[in-house]
Amino acid sequence: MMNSLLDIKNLSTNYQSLAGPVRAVEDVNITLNPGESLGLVGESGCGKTTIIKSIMRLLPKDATSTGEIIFDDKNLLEISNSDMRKIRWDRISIVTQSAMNSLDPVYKVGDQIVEAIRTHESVSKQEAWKRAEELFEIVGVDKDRLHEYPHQYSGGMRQRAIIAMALALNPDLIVADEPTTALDVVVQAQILKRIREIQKRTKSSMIMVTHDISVVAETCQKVVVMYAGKVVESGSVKEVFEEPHHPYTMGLKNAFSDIKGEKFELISIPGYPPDLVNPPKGCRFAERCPFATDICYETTPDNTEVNNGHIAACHHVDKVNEMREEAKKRETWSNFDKGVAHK
Amino acid sequence: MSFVKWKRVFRLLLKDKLGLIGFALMAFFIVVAIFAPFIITHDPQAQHYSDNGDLLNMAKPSSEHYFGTTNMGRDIFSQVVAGTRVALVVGLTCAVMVTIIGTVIALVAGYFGKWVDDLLMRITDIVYGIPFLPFAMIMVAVLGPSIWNIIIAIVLISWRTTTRVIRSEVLSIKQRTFIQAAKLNGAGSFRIIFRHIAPNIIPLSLVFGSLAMGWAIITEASISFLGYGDPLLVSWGKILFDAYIAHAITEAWWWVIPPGLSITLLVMSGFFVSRSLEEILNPRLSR
Amino acid sequence: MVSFIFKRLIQTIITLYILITLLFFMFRILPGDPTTMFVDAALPLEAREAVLEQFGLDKPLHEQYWLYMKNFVQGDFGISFNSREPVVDLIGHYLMPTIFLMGSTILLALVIAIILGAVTAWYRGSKFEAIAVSVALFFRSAPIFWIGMVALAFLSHQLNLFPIGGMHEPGQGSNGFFETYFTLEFLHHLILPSIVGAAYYVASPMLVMRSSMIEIMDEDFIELNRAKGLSEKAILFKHAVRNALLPVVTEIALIVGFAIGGQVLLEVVFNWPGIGRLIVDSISRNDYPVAQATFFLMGVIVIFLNLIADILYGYLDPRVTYKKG
Repeated sequence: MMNSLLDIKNLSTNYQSLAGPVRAVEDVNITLNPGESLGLVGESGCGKTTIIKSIMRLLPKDATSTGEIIFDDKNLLEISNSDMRKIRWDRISIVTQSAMNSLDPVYKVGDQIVEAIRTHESVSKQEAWKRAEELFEIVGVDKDRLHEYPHQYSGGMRQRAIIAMALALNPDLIVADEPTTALDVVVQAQILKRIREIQKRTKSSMIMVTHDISVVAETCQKVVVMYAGKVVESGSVKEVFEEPHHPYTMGLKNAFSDIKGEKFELISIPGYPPDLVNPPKGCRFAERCPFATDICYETTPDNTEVNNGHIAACHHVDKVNEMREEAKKRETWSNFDKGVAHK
Repeated sequence: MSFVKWKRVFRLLLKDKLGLIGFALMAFFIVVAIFAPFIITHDPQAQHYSDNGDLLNMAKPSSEHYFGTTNMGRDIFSQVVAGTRVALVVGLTCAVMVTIIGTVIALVAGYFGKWVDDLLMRITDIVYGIPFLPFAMIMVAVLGPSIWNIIIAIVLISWRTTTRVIRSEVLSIKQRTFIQAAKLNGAGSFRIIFRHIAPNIIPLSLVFGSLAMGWAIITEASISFLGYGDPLLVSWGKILFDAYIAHAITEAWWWVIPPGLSITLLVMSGFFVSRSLEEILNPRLSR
Repeated sequence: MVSFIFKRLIQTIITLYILITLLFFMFRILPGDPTTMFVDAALPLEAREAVLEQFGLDKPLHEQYWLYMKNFVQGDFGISFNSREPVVDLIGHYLMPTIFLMGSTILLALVIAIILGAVTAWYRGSKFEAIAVSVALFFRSAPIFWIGMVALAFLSHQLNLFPIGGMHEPGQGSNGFFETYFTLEFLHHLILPSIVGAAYYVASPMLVMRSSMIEIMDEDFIELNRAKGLSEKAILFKHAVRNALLPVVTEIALIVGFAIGGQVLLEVVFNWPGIGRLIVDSISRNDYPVAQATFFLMGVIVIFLNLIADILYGYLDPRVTYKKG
């Protein structure tokens, strides 16, 4: 068997809240091979960011994770703090969700990149600064701007600066957490293009966290679709998006314009994700699913391997063709009220 | 406030231990002040003599004189109890006056903006440049040492803090839609200020009011300690002044500790109450 | 930047001018016969007349004001009724001890406040936090002169650790500047009043530092720094504290405001020969020229330290552009 770079096994993460523990992530399995890029998709609050923070061990103190996160043969949930610090940025770097606030406002951007380099490598300041200049060239920002403060940058430039910083130590894995959501469409496209080029060049692995499946389609080979803290479908991008087996994936597809530019009416999935303090019995998507039957409210669906490496967690994978046809129609999503009725 | 709101207040209060301590302490001092004439064991100004006719000069605490006596043979316990009244009168009067003056200036400055705001804020800046205690001392020295002159001197300076904070709050409230709506409906300035803005300001005013109370008590004590206290009243500051003049620190700790500790606890209760009020009245400020 | 400082300087001058004017009216508009206020009754007759003439008290108010301003601008604050010395010389004599005591007190308070504020925020919810905050609030609520009295009673009289007040032992430290202020003996006298003053001032900057730290710790860049593999120490000191300092700087101006009052009480309790004690003594002796000049000087100190805090803020925060004063 091929040695994977990152292997997440049965990861569950809970937060404490006043109402009780929030089961933000439950029983998640993700495998990532060297050089691969993986998209992690789902609505906000579905646990994507929690998984990232679990990997980086950046969860708040009251959160607990169980399961295993094997990175380079070590379980990241068990290694010491100082070992974890060595892995951060040097082996796994992160492009954060809100680049707007991710740079320290009182230091020059260049100094912050130099700081990242010098935390992990004993190089001189001049040398580190030279590397920062090269990085800025790669992400397409004038190197003179390294001498400026974050507030002098535009949103897109800050995002590029963070990407440059993420590349600084040639990490094995780059995690991009909604890297483009805060930006306007034109800049978004530029940044995504840049990320694609860089990934080809550096051969790092990448996890792209996003709620926008078109971003995944453009940048990734594999995809993991999450709903309410659980993985509902995973596999290669091509298979999952062309032959979705889970109604949620079908719904997500409707909510975004098609990858190939085919015109679709955008249909959104009605309703809201369930409360994760008291998650519903059975399939977590059942309440919003137009195809749900009694069994969906009773038992949690097993992961079914519908094709080689393509897994879906739905009771009705056998009726997939039927569901796919129905899912394309607007009435399917708007005409059912049974979720509410069942409550 | 409705019943539900009161319930929330009560729940918050029970959770907030420091706030509870603050309210309890303040209630304690208020009770002592109200019933002072019944609590005191002796006339605070009367001089006491021992059985063989000597003046009780800095006698140790005993069952007769709980906190001992001063060098003039006066009962310290009764003095401290009597001082509670003075402290609370000064503290509460100043707090009310400072809150009203400070809030009104802030409302006017914040609401009218432009040159009115500019002028009033420059005045506030200038008042910030005045050294508080020396000013109060000179005022009292010139006007004569009476408790009312002390209160006036404190109020003349203390409004500055309240004004500065409340004004910025007024500025933000002014931008809200309901104010704009009231304006469109043709409400006059006076009506908008007092019917629409002022009610939203009151919580913050109360917070700064309880801080002002502490300030006033400390300032009165300081002025008295410097020898400009009201000669007709027994205040905590004045007890400490007498003790200091008599070099009691080396010999009679019972003369120094009770009045000082009383000031500290009362001022502290003001801090705790204000913090607690802030959380109860303005949930958006609390985390 | 330069134009900002210039604008603030102009504002400062206007403030000072109004302070001087206020001072003029404070002593003259008030009820009572001004001559008794200004002139020591114990003075011989010709001296009294000289004083009345010097201040122009026999002239109408506007002429008095003009004369008063002229004297002020020329730095002529008159002659002390008490010591018969020019007021300027007298104040010069008392100013240095105040600067040393006030400087060391505020500096000590700020250092302690910043460290305690940072640490209490970092260990939020711990016992240490609860104790540190309560102790700081206790000292903030206690009258400074009372803390001074108690400290003297226990640490000086009982334990003999510190001198019982004053700036020097009798017969020492009156020779030159260095012999006066740069000796161990002076330091020994300085420590206790500085600690007492600092204990009083520390709470408000500490609480500001604490809440500012708590806010900063939630910022995304702190998390990114953690993701960068920085040690907790580096994050705490290089990033969190550095950012959280900004609101504390604004707080300095407020501390200085009440530090002047605290200074007066501190100097009285510790028998410190500074301008705080000078103003108390001069008021009680009706030494009006000295009181007026000292009061003015204190106002100047408050106003200028405010100005410095403003400029320092801009220096620490690169986002401040100084376009708007």
